[in-house]
Amino acid sequence: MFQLTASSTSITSLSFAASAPMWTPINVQSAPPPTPMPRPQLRPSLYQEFAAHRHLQHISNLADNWDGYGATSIHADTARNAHRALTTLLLSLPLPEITPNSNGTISFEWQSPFGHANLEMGLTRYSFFVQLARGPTIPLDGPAASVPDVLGSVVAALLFPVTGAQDTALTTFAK
Amino acid sequence: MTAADPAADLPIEIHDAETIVRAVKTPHHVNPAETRIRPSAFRPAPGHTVLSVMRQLMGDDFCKDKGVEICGNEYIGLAAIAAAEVRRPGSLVVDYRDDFLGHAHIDHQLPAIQRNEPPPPDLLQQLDDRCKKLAAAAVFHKDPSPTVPSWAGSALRLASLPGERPPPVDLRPPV
Repeated sequence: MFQLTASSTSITSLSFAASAPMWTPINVQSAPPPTPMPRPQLRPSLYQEFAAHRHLQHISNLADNWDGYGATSIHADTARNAHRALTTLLLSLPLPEITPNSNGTISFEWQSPFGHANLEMGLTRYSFFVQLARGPTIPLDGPAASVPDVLGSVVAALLFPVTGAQDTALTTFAK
Repeated sequence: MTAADPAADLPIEIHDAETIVRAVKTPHHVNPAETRIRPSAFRPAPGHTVLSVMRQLMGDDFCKDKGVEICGNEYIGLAAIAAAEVRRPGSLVVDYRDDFLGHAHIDHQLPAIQRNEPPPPDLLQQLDDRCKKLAAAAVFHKDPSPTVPSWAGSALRLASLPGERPPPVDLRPPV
């Protein structure tokens, strides 16, 4: 698991326990990796960001049993946590797929040829993992009100890398 | 079993080739084009480890009418998946006729999820992986006439059971 050890504004503040069971070394001898491309601006436009928050607001207004199978409505604090996290993450990531879950949480998902990331926001906790197509699965969780500021930058480097950025991000995680 | 009375001899055992049907109520469980079912449609309700499905052996009309009955007015369509595709990633699909004949449960064999809080990252990853595999294998049929009794879409059955004549070819024009 990651531990937040220092300033949340520093990418080196995330440390990864070597004993974490989901960590496996990257096999660089197998098939060639996807080639990092020159990265266009990942950050969505102001309009797209507004639309994402509006979609989130719509999700927050779902009534109990919104899926017909007994789903829970979204608590106001869960919605607030999700809005806050989304604002921070969209500074460095493209728009995620935003999905309400039957237990009253909200999922943000990003997918690329390099893997996928899933952040689930709850009332008091968040849960996250990034699963790399050619590498480790990296888990992270913590208080919902304090999703690390650097998470977006690190996920961007892993899933939407420019040359060298993915290695740097993985090295950072491995420290 | 005959087409006239599919319920007369419904076996308790669910064959791998049998088609399982999940009624979809909310647009949040399908993609914006309403062509694919989203993984979140296969998440159990909070506090539960199983989700409700129907056995297509009871007939397409049965699945539609029961889906409407269960889901209410916001019902939008049905998702069909082979029992083998449910079992392949490790979930169970078992008859549960205590509620009504033709009812079954998909059991992911994972711990129940709490209301308002996300599961821990390792469980989140397992659940995400399981639901994604089911969603990828499922065929979503948007109901062309959700407010009218009986199924008017294309045939739900995905394959014939061993020893059974193949289902008749659907000659109706695509909706």
